[in-house]
Amino acid sequence: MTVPAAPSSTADLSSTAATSPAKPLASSRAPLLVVDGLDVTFATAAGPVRAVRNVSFTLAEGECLAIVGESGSGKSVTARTLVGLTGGRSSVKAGQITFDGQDLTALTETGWRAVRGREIGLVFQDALVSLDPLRTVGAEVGEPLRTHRRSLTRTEIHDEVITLLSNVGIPDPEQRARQYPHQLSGGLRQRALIASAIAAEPRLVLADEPTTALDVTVQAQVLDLLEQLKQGGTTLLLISHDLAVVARLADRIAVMHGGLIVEQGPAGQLLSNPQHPYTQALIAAVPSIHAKGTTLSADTVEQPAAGPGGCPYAVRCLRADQRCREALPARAGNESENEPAHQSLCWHPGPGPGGPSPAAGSTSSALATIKISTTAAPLVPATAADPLLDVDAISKRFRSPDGSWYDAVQDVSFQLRRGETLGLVGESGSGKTTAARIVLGLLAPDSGSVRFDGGPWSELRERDRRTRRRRIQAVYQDPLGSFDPRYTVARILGEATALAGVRRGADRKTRISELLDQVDLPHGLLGRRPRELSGGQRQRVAIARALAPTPDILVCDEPVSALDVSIQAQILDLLAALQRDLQMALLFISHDLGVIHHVSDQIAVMKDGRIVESGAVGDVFSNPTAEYTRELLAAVPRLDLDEVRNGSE
Amino acid sequence: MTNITLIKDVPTQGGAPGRERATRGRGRLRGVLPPPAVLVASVVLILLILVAAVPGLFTSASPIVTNPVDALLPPSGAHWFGTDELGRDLFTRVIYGARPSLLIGLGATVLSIFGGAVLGIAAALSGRAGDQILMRLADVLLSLPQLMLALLVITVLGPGTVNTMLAIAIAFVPGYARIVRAEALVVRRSGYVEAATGLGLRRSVLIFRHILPNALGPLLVLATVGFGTAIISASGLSFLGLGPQPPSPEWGAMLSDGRNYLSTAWWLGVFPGLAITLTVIAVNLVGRRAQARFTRRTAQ
Repeated sequence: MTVPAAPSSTADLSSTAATSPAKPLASSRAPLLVVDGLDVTFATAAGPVRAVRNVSFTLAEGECLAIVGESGSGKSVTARTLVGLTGGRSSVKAGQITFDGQDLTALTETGWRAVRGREIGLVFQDALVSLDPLRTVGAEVGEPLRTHRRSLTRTEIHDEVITLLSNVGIPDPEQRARQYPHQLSGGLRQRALIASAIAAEPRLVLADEPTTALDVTVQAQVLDLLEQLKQGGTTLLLISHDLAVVARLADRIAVMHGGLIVEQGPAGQLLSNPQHPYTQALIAAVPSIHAKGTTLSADTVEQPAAGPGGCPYAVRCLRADQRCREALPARAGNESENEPAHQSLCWHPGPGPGGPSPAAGSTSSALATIKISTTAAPLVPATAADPLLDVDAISKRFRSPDGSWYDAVQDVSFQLRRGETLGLVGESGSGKTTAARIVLGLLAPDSGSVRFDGGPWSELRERDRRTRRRRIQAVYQDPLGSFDPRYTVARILGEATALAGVRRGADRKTRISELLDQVDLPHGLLGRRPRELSGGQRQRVAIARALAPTPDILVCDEPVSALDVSIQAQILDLLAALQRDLQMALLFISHDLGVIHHVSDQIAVMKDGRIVESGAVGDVFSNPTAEYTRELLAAVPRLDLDEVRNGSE
Repeated sequence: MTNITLIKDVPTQGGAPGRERATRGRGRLRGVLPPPAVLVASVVLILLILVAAVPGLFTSASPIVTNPVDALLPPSGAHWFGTDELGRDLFTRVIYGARPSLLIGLGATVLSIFGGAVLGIAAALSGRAGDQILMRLADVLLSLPQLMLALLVITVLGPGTVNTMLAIAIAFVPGYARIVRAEALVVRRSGYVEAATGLGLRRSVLIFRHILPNALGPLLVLATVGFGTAIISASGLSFLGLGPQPPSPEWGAMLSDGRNYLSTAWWLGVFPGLAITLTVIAVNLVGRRAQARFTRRTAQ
């Protein structure tokens, strides 16, 4: 049935039909939400796009279900369907969507308004966008109270708002309630958003990537808060791209890919014994659970694409055969009474031989934590005693908009040797990028100096530095912004190779195709503009451009943080392989400890412009000395399977 | 690390433009053809350019040779637009008047873009002091209406075709310089300029290859509409007798001459006026269309 056009008579029928099986259970675990056979299709210029295909799940009262998937998997669309926010160009069809016995498919816009906020609370990713910039936090949090609990007086609402704000752990709630969203930090904003979502005491809280924009320590606090909510009896539907984040909270996990739920089951079972090859690849791609030096991306083979009814993963699945491309297996029988079975949507389920890496196939305890190798020698022994790059006590101050000065980088020193990777880790605003810009010679330090290959670097005049710039190259977080929008891939690489002194003509063509091969890009992309490429392809072009002048040092500033985990895995593997082959030194900047651990030989932890700890990666991870490093490590969500199991029991 | 198939490696914007168009199938022509009004305007504009380039193709008479016997004849089969007080065929004069009008408009636009680009880029890249001096100067000039400024310049330079062109160009420069400066400031701080700096590009190469073309885009589009304004300004100056000097035909000057006979010979005012109006409307329609397309492209 289509939502907007549903006649009310059939709606009544289906609603009663849905209520009857749900009622008799009457236990605390009666399904609060039942979704059966959900299909969402969007009309686009290029024809209809099936964003969600035949998705079914149930959510019991007090339970936490996490829907995990990469961008474009349909997870957010699924969530939006539950609050009627899929937009005008969508067509929603479902066998059944009931919330507490009420048929949601028959709701009109007015009906939805009674559900949103009152029955189902919403928490979105970016609290700065989700909160009205012109209204105080107090007014925003009070909104659902005014809408859904009309009987409350003004002072009652005020008191309620203050209680809510203090309940979500906002210090000094009286003052915060009077402030505007931009005056709050990211973590406080997200808390305020959660407070407004739970204000009307909804029975289900739907959180779409609630911690994605947050620093890891703040993320840990928000996850704590969600956990408290769950313990208080609120039912949670969590949408995330990050398995590690949801592993902590979820009772059950549903993995989505290409609009399908490819696997779902109890969190512990699904993580320790994934059946679907996609789930396995996803788990393997998370860098934190691997020993260093392994490849993260699963081996794949070029396969013909599946037909419209086939499995969307078949294109890169080692197990795929003709049957996979033609049809999907029927979902394994209806779930038994209370405990839903662990089910996967695959013709060839099980821990197959295509296991993505040796680490993933080992015991669950090996999977469980960051594998720390204290004895880990650098991948390439530091042969030269002299550092290639010597950063000596650099500082940089900036003026903030209100006229005061703040220290972006303070007294930062580190060294980088040939063939070595230094990981610079820290949260947003810690000064990582400023340090990188100083190293690149794009910014002059106020004091201190950077020496490169035994000679001066930061003290050079631009005229003298320019000719040597090609020896230190960079890969940026936002590759699209780092390309001239008018340029094609061929021109981008052409410009870079020209600077490296390669002459126009056949030589340059050869060099460009060499670069494309190095980064595994098809030559057919040369005529495209970066806008027409995917995120992973863009980052590969950026890497190819950086490699063109055969640099000694590659500065990577958050090169994978905008990418999906499987693409991230491929880019990290690519960088590792290139470093091995080309003997470059890598200055790798990231906020992600797992990524940093995976790629680095040495690491330096930054906080508020200072390096609080540095050393060999194994030492720092296994034996952190600085308080902040300990905090940071403790805050990282992990795929700790034993814990997950204990939690779900 | 070989043989990797990317999960998400499908083009994010729905593929190359060519492919997109192909899949649209039936709506194909709709994407290619502009709306009817713009289509008509384009035809008019092409015709105007042709008229300005080879006026002899459209009329065999001379726009200058006088023939007092035929003075002030109303429109007829022999003289479509009638004749003026000196007996010259008005149709011929309107035809020959297209060239100076379009030429002044075009010349003034090109000059003002050039001047605006140079000053705008200079202001954006010359540091705080240079920026302040150039932009305060622009503020002073912008405080005068464009036509007033052009009048001021022409008073200094003296009347004539080239001087009119110069005067209008100078009047347009401050506004254009501001636009280019604002764009250049954004482009200068963009990731791709930083990336190009990091590659070791020379400053001049950086400016001419990356900053200038990207900062100039919006101005070029704006200038298509500015072209229409320049034509009106040119006619205005000619109307005041400051443009091309008689006897050479110019729409604004013809309008001014016709004013004296408006009660007895309406055609002297109406036809040059129509020519100006038609030209400006055509130019503006096409210009706005270009503008819309550009904003849509950059918004993607």
